[in-house]
Amino acid sequence: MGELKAIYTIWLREMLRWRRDRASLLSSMMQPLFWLFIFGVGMGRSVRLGVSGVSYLTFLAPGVIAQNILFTAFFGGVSVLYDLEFGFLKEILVAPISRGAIVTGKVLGGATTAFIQGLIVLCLSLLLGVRYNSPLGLAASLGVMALLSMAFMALGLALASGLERAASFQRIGRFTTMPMWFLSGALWPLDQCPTWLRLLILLNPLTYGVDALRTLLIGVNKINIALSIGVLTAFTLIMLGLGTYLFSRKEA
Amino acid sequence: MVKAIRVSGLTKFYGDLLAVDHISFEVEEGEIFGLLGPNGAGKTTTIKMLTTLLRPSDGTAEVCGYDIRREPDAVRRVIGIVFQEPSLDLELTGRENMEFHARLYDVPKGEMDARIEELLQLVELQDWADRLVRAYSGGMRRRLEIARSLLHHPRVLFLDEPTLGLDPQSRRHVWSYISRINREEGVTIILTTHYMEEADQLCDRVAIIDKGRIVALDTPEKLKGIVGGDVLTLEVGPEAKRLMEAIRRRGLARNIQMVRGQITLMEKDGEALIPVLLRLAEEVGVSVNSVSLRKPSLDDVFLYFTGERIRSQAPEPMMMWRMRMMRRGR
Ligand SMILES: Nc1ncnc2c1ncn2[C@@H]1O[C@H](COP(=O)(O)OP(=O)(O)OP(=O)(O)O)[C@@H](O)[C@H]1O
Ligand SMILES: [Mg+2]
Repeated sequence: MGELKAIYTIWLREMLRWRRDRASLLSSMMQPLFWLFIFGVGMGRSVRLGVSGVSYLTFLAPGVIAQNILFTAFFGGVSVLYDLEFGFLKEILVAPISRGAIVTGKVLGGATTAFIQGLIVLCLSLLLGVRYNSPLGLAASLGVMALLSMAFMALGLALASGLERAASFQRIGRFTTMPMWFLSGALWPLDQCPTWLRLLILLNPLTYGVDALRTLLIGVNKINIALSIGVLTAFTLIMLGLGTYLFSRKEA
Repeated sequence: MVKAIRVSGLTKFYGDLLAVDHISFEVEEGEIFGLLGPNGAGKTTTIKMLTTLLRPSDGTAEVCGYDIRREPDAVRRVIGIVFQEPSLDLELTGRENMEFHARLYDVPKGEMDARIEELLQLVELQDWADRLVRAYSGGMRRRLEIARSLLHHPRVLFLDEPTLGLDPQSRRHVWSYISRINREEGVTIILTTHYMEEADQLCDRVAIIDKGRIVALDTPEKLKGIVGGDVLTLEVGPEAKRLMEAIRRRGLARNIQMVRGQITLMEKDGEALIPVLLRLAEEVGVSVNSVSLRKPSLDDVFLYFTGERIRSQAPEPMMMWRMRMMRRGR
């Protein structure tokens, strides 16, 4: 009971802050619009995928949803360092709640934000004319989006817990998220690249999110969806554990 | 009976820097206990260790009988704290900050709203409760933090420089909240400060801390008693050293200190000493710009034990008369 209330309290604060921060919500919508509209629609005309019956825009859309979740969730981790810099972390650390509850509350908070943004991108893609397979697949994809949100928020939080300053997080974040996005099979099909590149792509957790979303939304599939979900779940749990460990060493 | 706080050999190194050096002391339940010391003395470091935010390098402490190293969660449950640096969420309203705290400390839902209202009233912020903290002044933020620290009925309250940066009027307000909290809620209070008056007026007992060590610990009255009856200050200037040596040679005062051209003597009968000192100054050819006599303050106690002043300017005199001396050699 106490733990749940603590998790809820930490989560609620993230929601209150997010609700007041309309500007950053709007600006974070620009990037997926750019990818879908400029890249998907514009470039789609000259790209031949070799995937039958699917336009490039449709192929790209699940990847853009996953990408938006990746960026929002991962950079959500920095909030720990802002709390540290603004002094609020002391208020949290001195409270009689477990460090695991703090990390879980933070991860759920950031993941909720990322999930809602992913949902908005999904709606945008529908407005741009992307057609998805079935209502059932659509519903199931929400679960994958939630899992992806947790996974990358946990990753961002673990990284932030190991650092001292928000600026260093931003710097490292840019170097990690960009390759993750390009090497995720989001932009081109997995089997159409050399083996060494495919190996890198298979080491990237985002790959499994993109592929699972594609399976459920447009029925294009390169990896067994059970494997994808297993990989993402394991990754989330490991990052939560690592994050809790690093966070509990924090002094304020 | 269990002491509110029992500190034994508490030590903190930051790398090579020894910030807190094996300090030990005890605080009784219901007491207002002060840690008085200059910048960098180790006050905040001590408070952070006692509140489980920093791990000690050596030694330990108990708060309400719970060990800060082995039972940090139990310690966290019984303490409240106002940090030296701000610790509010500026993007939330005052009330939201309070509610966040109440939920973290599991204050029952039925009690929460009334308790928040009561405390906001205590610190006179009820009209500001629903505005973002971003819009609060520094003094209002401080008051909100004090109210917040009391929400969950802590048994021991830590206040790290509670009046730092406040104007004299707000400072007096905060002092009155602190004594009310202590009286009406029976909370043990441990506060740090480098304002002499604050330690003097508010605290039952004061530990004077310098360079990570406790140099003296007693009630303000007793501490001032150590110094002696009167404090005589002579403003001399660059020749101070010569005059001081002459006073020493004559054995006119047991305790004598010099800080930046100012000689301070602590003696029983200061008044009778003034003419003697002036005659001596004349003999050795040193000009004295002014003489003042007053009762000792805690700053004098600090000077007595460390040979330095806590802050550069002299403290507010309690009883003082000034004699402007004619400049000689004119
Ligand atoms: N995080 C830190 N890393 C390294 N040194 C530190 C750190 N925090 C404090 N110190 C050093 O430890 C010593 C004690 O600092 P502390 O903040 O405890 O002093 P203080 O008595 O609270 O001073 P003030 O009145 O200025 O608040 C100082 O010399 C300070 O420079
Ligand atoms: Mg301090």
